[in-house]
Amino acid sequence: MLEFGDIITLENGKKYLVAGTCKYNDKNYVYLVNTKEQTNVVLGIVENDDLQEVTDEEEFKQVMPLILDNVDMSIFDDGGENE
Amino acid sequence: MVINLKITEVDKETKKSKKDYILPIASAGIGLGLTCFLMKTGVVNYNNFIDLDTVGKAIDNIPVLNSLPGYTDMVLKMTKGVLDTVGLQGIILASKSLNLAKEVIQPIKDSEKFKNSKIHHVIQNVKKMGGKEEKETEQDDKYKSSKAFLNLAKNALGIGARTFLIATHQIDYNAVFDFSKLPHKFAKIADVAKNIDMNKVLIGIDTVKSVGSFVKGRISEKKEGNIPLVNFKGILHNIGESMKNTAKFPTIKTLQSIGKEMEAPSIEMEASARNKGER
Repeated sequence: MLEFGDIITLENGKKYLVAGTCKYNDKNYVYLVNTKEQTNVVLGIVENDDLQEVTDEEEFKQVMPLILDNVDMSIFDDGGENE
Repeated sequence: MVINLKITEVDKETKKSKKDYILPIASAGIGLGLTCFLMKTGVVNYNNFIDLDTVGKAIDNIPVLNSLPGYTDMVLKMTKGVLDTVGLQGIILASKSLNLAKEVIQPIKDSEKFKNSKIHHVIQNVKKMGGKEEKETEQDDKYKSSKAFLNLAKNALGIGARTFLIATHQIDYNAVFDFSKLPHKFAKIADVAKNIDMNKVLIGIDTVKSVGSFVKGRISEKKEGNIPLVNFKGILHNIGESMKNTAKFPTIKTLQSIGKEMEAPSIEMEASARNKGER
């Protein structure tokens, strides 16, 4: 199962950071950011090893808030202090 | 092109180093915050905001947007805040802000002039200040670098968060460091933002303040779909040129003199117009 912070490689060779995940209507959604082209973001559904990009606006609208609710903030737990 | 591909590899180890996966979002956070501010202060029309070419080029001369090598996922939380405020377009803003960040970052970052500039020197100092401890070993270098990136990411978050909060009128512009009056729903953003040592990120804060003050003072009257972006673009260009040539941030007085030809209603008038259903 994909988790926040995982880096996936697609069959086209491109790598994406998993920046968010959620489960909705029994589907596993992931919010991906390309590691080289940070302007390239994808909301997709992962089933087994397949990634299908979400194109339906209503679906996008339903899922994105759920993705955001699940954003992992633990990155700040032990990250060091500003001096 | 819509993606419909197989996942061939999953790397679960890199994230443990944090530095390598704190990508790409701190600058996007700045972009998001700044673009939200521009939208909220009326410089950018909400409906034509999708066309970022104009805004992107206008902001191209502001070096701060490329000064943050570390990133954070907090922009996603900020996006949620935007979503609360402006609906689905907040998500579009987030993705467009990433485009904006890229537009700004790369050309400036690659330029020799920037690499030789005082601003670049200051950034390098900020990077050094972001590291926590001085250690000797190779392992410790990696640790120090990781900490530096994380600190810079936090600082980027602070800048973006503050800009966003100002843009959505959640905090008073003049009381930007006063988080005690924030609505509870922004507590998480505030919790992170208030821990940022703003003295460490002089460039970002000063520039955001300069642009923000200027825009606040020069908010344009909104006519239907007719936002005078051209004027704003020209003014920002002048600001950018001033900053590039002097390696200093323009004073409010300079900004006012640059933009004085723009006659604009005050924010209070805009709010009143909004209440009447006009935009």
